[in-house]
This record gives sequence, structure tokens and C-alpha cells, in this order.
Amino acid sequence: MKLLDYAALCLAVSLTVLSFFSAVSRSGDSLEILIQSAGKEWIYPIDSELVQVFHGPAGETTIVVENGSVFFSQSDCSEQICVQSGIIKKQGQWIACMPNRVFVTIRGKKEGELDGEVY
Amino acid sequence: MVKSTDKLKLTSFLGGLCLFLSAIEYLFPRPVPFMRLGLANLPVLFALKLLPFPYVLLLILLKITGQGLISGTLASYVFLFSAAGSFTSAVVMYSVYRIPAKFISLIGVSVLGALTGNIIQLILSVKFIFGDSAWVIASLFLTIGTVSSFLIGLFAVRFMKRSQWISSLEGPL
Repeated sequence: MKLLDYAALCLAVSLTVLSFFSAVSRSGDSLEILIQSAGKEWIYPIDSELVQVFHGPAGETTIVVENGSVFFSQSDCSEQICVQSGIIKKQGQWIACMPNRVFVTIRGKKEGELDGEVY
Repeated sequence: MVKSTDKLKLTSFLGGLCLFLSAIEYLFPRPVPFMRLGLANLPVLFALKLLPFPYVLLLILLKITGQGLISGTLASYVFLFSAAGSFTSAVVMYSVYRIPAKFISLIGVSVLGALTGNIIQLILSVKFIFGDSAWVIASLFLTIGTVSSFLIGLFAVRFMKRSQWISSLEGPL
């Protein structure tokens, strides 16, 4: 190991640690599910019960939210990585379907954040 | 002077090695198509020492084509991600490799190469595929990249020191 090897490792490790902190910075008492697809976002409370179909470049992707967990039940992509990712239920976990551009993550709900306000 | 056919032969051999390592890599589960262990980076590290830069770029082309063929993503935009990551990382690794060997070894070269390739792919996936919330994938992505690129660099250093094959190539090339 040479001098710049240590420097390279320090840089890589510090960026990795930084990314961990930014991932857990949004913590809260209750959890919510964030789904991104085609540039749009859907946010649901973790205790929702729903089945939603998303349309992407590869075809259809179906996401199921039930019993405080989320999973991809079906997707028209070639590798099926998203379906094989299984069920997620903890904060910070995520599933992505890259070919069909669908991303799901569970995050903490910010206190006092409202879905919308009407005056 | 070395004949350019010898360099081409070595490039194609290393390309074949990339293809083989990509197949091995495919055995490991991964959460998104471009999140790889980076085993196929090993022949690229050898190439930095053995081949001139244009041949290194040719090897990268062989590497990403092989990875695309094996994972079935050759005809999709996932291939472009792979290309962007691999070429940036190759340029960075080649530039860093120019630094005198008393300051840096292939370990640092490998770690920096993986880091830049990964960051480029992260930025592309956040900007063009998923959206801002996808930054949460960064922690897993960078952890895998840092650990595996360190181990691959370590292996490359040991291998380069002891391999008779490498020392036989260093003479004529």
C-alpha cells in the first residue's frame, strides 16, 4: 500500500459513510412508501393496502402494498431483478426496476408534513 | 518495436477474460443491473500495464459488449450506463496509473476507477431513470464498489508480482 492508495481508500470510505448518513437523515416515527415512475411520485402511508400498475419502457410493473410491506408482484422486464428482490418493510430499504424505470423506497415521514392544504 | 498484431492478440485475450469473469459475476445476485462486483475490471488493470491507451479503450468496448451479451442488456439503455461508467473509470484509471509507482499502486487505481465509474452511474440513474429519492441506493452501491475494488486491486498487485505470464509479456510488449 502506497501513500495515494490510502488517500484513495479514505476518499472512497468517507463518501460511502456520507451516503449512509444522507440515507438515514430522513427519519420519523411513522413510515411512508415512496414510488417513483416516469418522473412522477406517489407517496402512501406504510399501512395502505393497494395494488398499482405502472407503465414504463419495458411494459407493465405491478407493485403490491400490504401488511406494512411492499413488493413487486410482476414486471415485464427481462432480468426480473425487481420481482426477485422480494418484500421490503424497513426504513431505508428499496427495490428498483431499471429497465422499466420504477423505484420504491420506504422512508420516515417528516413531522408536520401534510399531503396538501386547502384554504 | 512491438508488432501491433501482438497487442491486438493480447487485447482480444483480455477481452475473453472479461467475458468469462462477467459470466462468473452474473452468478451473484444484484439489486440493479449495473451494480456489479467489478471482477471484469481485473483484465483492465492488467491492460494498464501491458497495453497503450487506445488498446485499453478497445478492451473496455469488448468488456461492456461481453457484459451486455451475458446479462441480455446489450440492446437496452442499461448498456449505455455500463458504457458511461466503464469508459470514465478507464480514463481515470489510466491517468492515475501515470503517477509514479512509488506513490500509488494498482489498489489505489482500482479504488478510484470504481469510485468514479459508480458515481457517474449513480448520477445518471438519479437524473434520467428514477429521480432524486434514488440517492438512497448510493450507500449500498458505494460500499460494494469500495470493498470489491480494493480486493481486486490487491489481487492484481499480487498477481502482477508473481505471474510468469505477465513477466513474459512485459519483455516483448
